Amino acid sequence: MQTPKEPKRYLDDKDNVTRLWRRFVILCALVAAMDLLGLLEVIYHRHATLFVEGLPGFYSGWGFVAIVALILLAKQLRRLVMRPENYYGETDDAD
Amino acid sequence: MPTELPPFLPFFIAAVLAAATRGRLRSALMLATPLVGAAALVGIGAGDLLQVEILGYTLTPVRVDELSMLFGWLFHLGALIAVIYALHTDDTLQHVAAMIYAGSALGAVFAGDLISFFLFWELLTLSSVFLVWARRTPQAMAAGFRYLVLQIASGVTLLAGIIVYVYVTGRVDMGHIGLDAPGGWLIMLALGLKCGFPLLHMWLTDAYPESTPTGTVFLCMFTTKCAVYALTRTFAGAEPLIYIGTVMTFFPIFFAVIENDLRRVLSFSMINQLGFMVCGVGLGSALALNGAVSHAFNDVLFKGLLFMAMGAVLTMTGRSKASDLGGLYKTMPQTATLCIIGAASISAIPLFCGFVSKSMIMQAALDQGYTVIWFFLLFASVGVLEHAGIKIPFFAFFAHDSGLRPAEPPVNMRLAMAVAATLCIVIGAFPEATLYRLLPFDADYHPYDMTHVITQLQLVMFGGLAVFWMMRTGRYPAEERAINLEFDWVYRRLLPSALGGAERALAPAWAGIKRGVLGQFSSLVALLFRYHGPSGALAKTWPTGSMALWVAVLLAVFVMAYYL
Repeated sequence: MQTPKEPKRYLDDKDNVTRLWRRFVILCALVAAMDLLGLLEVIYHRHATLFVEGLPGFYSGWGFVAIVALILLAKQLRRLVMRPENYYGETDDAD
Repeated sequence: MPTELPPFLPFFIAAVLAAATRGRLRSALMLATPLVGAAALVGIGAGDLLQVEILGYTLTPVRVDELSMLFGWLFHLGALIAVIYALHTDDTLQHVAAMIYAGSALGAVFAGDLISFFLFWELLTLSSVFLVWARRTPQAMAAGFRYLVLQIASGVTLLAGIIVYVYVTGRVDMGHIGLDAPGGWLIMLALGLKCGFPLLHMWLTDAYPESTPTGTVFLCMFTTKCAVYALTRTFAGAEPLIYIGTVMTFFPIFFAVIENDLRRVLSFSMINQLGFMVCGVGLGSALALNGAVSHAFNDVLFKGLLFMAMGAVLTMTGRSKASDLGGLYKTMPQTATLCIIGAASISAIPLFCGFVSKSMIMQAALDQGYTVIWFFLLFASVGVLEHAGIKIPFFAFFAHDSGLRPAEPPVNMRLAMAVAATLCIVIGAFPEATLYRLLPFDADYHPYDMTHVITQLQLVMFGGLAVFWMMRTGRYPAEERAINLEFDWVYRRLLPSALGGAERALAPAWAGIKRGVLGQFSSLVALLFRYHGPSGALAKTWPTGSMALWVAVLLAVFVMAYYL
């Protein structure tokens, strides 16, 4: 549905998106590696209230696992609660 | 400079003026209102501004302290942003309702006694429902009525609680109440309903997305924040709030993942954020309470910003559903950028405002030994990133190209979003020079230390990594044109169909009863008619003279009575 005159955007190119994705993965790896610096007391001292909090990779792992668990559970929830849009018999204005 | 002006008064005057004026004059008046109000707030000193003696109770409609001032500033700021955002609309109903609504919110946070508080609490309900109805669609009308019923339930419960409390304790002042006080639970449930407690929250996710693009911005700023204020003032440290708040942070994130209407996603997100605040109130330490109120402050900014961005999309495209949108960054780059700032703020990315407030509550939970709660909150924090941080901007402005090429929204909408976005960054980057100065409780907290910044970055970046990984591998649930049942199903479907079923089941019995009773009755009438009717056997004995006699008797009685 794009008009012929419309310029092609950077994100329209799948290769560019893949490139961005790879950069993001590398950036994540670098941020996760900061834990090691903290552990070795280089640049900063890593403090923690809980024992697990101080384990290297705890926050990175928690972030990743929590999202995966959240989305998988939400997909199951959909089976239970998803209904057609006019379920309550009120018409939809967006159409 | 009027220094002793009750903070709600400029807004109520503006409501009257907004009804009487039109065009540029009205725009100027509406803009001036929060500015005049804020100027008056500068000169206001702590203490009781106004006292009235009614029926033996001393009412204090305006009492000023640090807690009410924080919300006072917040509501002026919120009102200013929302007014700018709504300047282009030419709907008198909305302008008037919005002014009364903002004024009631200010009245509620400055109310020094429970009775004044109750009056403003009710006014919040009555003015806000018009912002829902202002959309003027059948869904908005229906959702508005459901909203009204639940909000009035909150008002009635509050009144009942206040009556019990005032009757037993003899106190009317708006201070700490606690759950052990008589009527305490009733008052907490009433406040909780407006705060989106689980199973009392449906009005929010039902009605807010049905309001107008500008109405929702007002709605998201005042009602729930008033409730957070009131809980902070009256129930700080009530332990059940910790658990209630945790549930609130937790369950909406699942619904937000699968919800299609992006403004409804934001409504779920709101309950999630309110959960953090309620949790902070329950924890009750100075740090936790500061966290709760500063998170309320920031939520007005970033949630307002996100609702404004989605409102802009709705205004320009007529759509707000993820399945209908996508690729809008091509023609709405400014709105997309501002939306991403809101998304970064709510996700608590360092240098954005969510980072400096939510972490206080998290730290307080750890400090007070609520380790399990902390794990739940940490899970919910990542959930925020998924639905508000990524889903909202991604599905509206990127994702698959919807083919829609809307222009940027009117300049006033962009300006309002820009103000909110700027504040999100300024507060996030310089909390100690801005937000922290307003905090009412005495607690020392510094959000910017290396460990905190790095761990938070790890949390959100790996959360983002997981979302995009699932999207790229097709594990992410696709947007579907569908709705998801929620607890309101009970009163929207189960109860009506149960009543309908009961009616159908009882209908034959009722018909039988009617037939039986009416049958008996009509045979009695027929019997009487047969014997006493014009052609009945007993009617033959009626002498015309006896009729004349009885008329004479009646006349005599009447005359006697008159004479006496």
